[in-house]
Amino acid sequence: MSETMTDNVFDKLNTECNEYSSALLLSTCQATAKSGVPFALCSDDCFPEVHCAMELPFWSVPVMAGVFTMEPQAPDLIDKSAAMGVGEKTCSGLRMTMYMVEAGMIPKPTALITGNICCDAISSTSELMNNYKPWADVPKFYLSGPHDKSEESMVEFGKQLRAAAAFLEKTTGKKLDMNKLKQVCEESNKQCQLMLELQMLKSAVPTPIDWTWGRKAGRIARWGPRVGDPVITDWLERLITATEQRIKAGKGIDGITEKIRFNWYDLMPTMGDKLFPRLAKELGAVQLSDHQNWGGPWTPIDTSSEEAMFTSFAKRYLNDTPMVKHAMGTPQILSDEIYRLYKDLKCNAVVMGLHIGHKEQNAMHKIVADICRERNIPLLQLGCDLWDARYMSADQAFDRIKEFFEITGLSSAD
Amino acid sequence: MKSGLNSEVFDKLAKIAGGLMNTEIDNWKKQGGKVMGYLCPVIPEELIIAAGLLPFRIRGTGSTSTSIADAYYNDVNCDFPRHCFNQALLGKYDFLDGIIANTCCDTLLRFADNWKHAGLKTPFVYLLDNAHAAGEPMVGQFLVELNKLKGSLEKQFNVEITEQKLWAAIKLCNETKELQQQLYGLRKLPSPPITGAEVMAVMVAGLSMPKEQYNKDLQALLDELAGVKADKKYSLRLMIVGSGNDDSLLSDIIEGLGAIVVTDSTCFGARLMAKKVAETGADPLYAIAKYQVMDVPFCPKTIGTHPQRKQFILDLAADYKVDGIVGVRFFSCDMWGAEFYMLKKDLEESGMPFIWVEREYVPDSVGQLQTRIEAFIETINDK
Repeated sequence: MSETMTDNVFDKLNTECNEYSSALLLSTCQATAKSGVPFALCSDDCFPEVHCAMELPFWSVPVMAGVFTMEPQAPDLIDKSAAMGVGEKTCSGLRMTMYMVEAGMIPKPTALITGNICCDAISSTSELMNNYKPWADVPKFYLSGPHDKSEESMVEFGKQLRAAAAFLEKTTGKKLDMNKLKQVCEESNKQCQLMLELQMLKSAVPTPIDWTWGRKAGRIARWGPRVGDPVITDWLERLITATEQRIKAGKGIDGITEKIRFNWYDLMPTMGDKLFPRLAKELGAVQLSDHQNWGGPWTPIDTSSEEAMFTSFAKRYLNDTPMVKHAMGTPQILSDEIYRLYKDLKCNAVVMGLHIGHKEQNAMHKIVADICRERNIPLLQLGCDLWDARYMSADQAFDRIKEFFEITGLSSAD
Repeated sequence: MKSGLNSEVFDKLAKIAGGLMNTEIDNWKKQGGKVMGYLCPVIPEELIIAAGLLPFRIRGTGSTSTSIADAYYNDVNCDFPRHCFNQALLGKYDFLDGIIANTCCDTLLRFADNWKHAGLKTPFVYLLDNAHAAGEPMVGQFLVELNKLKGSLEKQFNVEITEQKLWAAIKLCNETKELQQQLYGLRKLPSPPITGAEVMAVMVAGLSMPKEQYNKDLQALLDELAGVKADKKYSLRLMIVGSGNDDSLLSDIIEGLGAIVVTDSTCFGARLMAKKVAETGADPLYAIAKYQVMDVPFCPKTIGTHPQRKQFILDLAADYKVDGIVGVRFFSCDMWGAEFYMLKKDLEESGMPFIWVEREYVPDSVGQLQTRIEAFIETINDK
């Protein structure tokens, strides 16, 4: 749990979250495979509502590996992946994922869904999984996600998702009951609404809870087997109630005197657990959001028909899901969101991780910087490796962010 | 590139390939014609031609630096688009009346955004959303995108792109492919009358001038080559595999070492002309979409197509009696990194010698590349 939270209710919420999140772990996937239960893997989870309604164990391999980058052996695996020669400028997290597949660390699935969403490294990982020889007989389905945001494209992608669901039914023997799917979607709609409420509560000054809570909420409400499960709705409601109580009591993050409010704009780095507490403690700089927990606006799933549901999945996935909406959206979409978060969360500054593996972000860094300058948003583009702190350590990142705050007059150089 | 060919028509094509603006484009523009730059072969030339425009494949030819473009891109980005963009910022692409970029990869994805943001005075800047998986279900989705592009071209250039014009453009481009196939066919001979470096120049020229004139020039070149009695001995017959190599750098190295490049699977080479678009059917745009999503030799951007890619390479290797394959990728290319890893294992299984190298678009030095390729050639020769 966050070291700054002392309320018992947060302790309990944290314990429960850890329990629910364990479903995302590689070890859980391995245990499922060992039990002989059919399960599917994917290159990214486009429709958690569907596999939850099917009660089909389902893992996004990059997410599973992303969580694994927190493990102590991750740097060693990243080094081993270098020997594959796939390229030192390829996302280290996904290079590690490729190595984990090739090393047989990921169990053989009953079915595999891969696609281009949402970056080149995921596409490469997809192709590698598709051609991993021990999985040659695994049934495979390929998705082509559009970058275009028109209704026509969403409908077309919705059709692909419907076909992918049919593929899962056929290959795993699990049935997709449309009434069950509707129930899951309706509950999931509530959960998404609650996540938005939670995010808005963080705009209170001082912000009532630390940055880890958004990540926790996102993990269990949007990933894994409990999407649309009333248990998660209850968890979110209790978190919101507890957060509201802190706001009413005028409590900020425990032990922190809030001086600077900033938004981290990228996925959470593995060094985040060191970096963000230190920024808060030493500089009073609290990190309010990141694009891992600030999804949204979470298109409500239209449950009026089967087609409407799948078109909604396409929209929710492509337009709202963190990283997907950024990597496959325009610079304007990203810049507008930076601006909205900056305003809504009453930020003083924005730090873009600018992960070396995020080629599309690196290819538009000037556009984003120029738009932020026009809007008077102090912006630092860091250029870190999200998954390998040896590229830029938490201390190095701290120094750069500290210097940025000093240059922009947000903190004094003492 | 040094050519041993004594051919005026080859010299003309090589000159076109060696620069950006050329006399053919100049003549085209003097007659009131407009030129459309495009980035990737998934953007159909047929559609551009049917709109009455001259398609020009954007390259970084002549670039020596990315110093201006680096304000827009970081060094983790592939330097192919960075050099192309640098040329644009230097005004070398001022002759274009429009550009069409596409969603081929994460770096090219932002090419159109940066072009617009830089305030370049190109009247038409378009991003085509290409398919990222193959097969029949994707044809419909790509057809939607092609129809959007068609509508935008019609509006911008005040033209009607009729079915008749599309069929004519398909036929014209297929004629080009037919001639290029004949050119490649000559390389199956024990002593080809044209080198790999020379073929590369001919192929690049075909993407930089009006097709009608190119077809005439290529036919003339083929006629000349038919009379050439080549008897040069080469130590090895090699094949190049990779992406946007639009120069003869690698062929020059290989051929400077006494081997010859007899074929390739690259997106300025054989993948352009190996297959043709159907010339009949209910809808020419559907025929183009089907070609791009089902028939074309795919590059790794298309998920699920590695087996076809591998087979295409093996078929070419057998057809051209290849002794070894050289893979080449630009440093930051994610897609070809994983592809070569897989290809290496596949080719080892089939007993085909394979090496892959990384290059910069404009390398500071070729010493390391040369050393690696030399060692590869020696290894094969020693077997």
